[in-house]
Amino acid sequence: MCRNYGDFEALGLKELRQIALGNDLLLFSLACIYRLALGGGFAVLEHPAEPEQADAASIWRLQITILLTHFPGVEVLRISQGHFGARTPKPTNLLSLNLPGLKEELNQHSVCDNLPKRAAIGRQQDGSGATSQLKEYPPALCFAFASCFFHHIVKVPVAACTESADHFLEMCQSLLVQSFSDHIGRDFAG
Amino acid sequence: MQLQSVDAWPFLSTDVYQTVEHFQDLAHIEGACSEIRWPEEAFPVPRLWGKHRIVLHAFAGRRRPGDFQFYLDRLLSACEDGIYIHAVSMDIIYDATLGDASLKSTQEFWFWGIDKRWVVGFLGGPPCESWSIARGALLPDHAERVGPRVIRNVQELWGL
Repeated sequence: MCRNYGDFEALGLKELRQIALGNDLLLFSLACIYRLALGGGFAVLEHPAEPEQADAASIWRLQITILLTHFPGVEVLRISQGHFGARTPKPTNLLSLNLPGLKEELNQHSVCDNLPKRAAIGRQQDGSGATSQLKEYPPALCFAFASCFFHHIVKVPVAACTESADHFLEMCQSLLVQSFSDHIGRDFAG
Repeated sequence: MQLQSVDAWPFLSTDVYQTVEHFQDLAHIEGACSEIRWPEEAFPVPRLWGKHRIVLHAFAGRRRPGDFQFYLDRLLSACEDGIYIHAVSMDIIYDATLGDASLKSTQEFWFWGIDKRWVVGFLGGPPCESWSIARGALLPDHAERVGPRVIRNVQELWGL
């Protein structure tokens, strides 16, 4: 196949690293959801909505994602994060697993009828990417996610004989974070 | 009688085993996935869950008021069912190892948690920079492309 690399004859090392890391992190996410599906778990995978351009790349066009969408309990919802308070429309697809009430929760927590007109392309005055702040979900969207997860998780009764999670929780103590931070990290290279 | 002895079956006395990679590369995975026909009817899955239930919030970023965990904790504080939901902020800003989803050991750690039914939920948006349609886009006041190049397309979804 003849590959079109744009301005150069090959991808640069930085671009190759971006691709490798992006693939790794996506596959990790998908593997988690596949495993949760086998155990009756819950999940939301968020990624930019499938673009209209037929030749554009999108995770929603991968066979491994398409297969997952055929699993029982999986649905794909299209939203605009602008309806939840984001500064740009930010069309987004959400793949949900065993969360049948998510659509209603989203409708209930939407805060803006009209989408913002801004776009986020290029760099800001401080040199950071224009999309940096947009990588954080707006609070109304977080509330919808939290509410949906909560109501489904507490519905499952505690089973009598289960292995204690105490040791596992101890091991991931560093990620049970309670303090807030003002610092938005750099864009990831994926 | 001899076959009833553990020694007759070497794999029974082997502590470690090497996992077998069934797929040679990403194209192989994609090909296999496209051939599977999955029955879409739901099947019952027993949920044998304890009182501590973990939601893995992958690529969580900084903790902030109004984030996913903020609301989850508030909802949980009003819950009297004896169930504890722990939102784990998986991000390299909090732990360079367990927060780094690109490490094989880290991936295996979280897979272990899921398979043991301790981790019951996942929320995450894996980084989208390499997938973004903003790549290769022209800005209104620039005749030429000023953004990064396109590095994936529909023919080469796993990268050019």
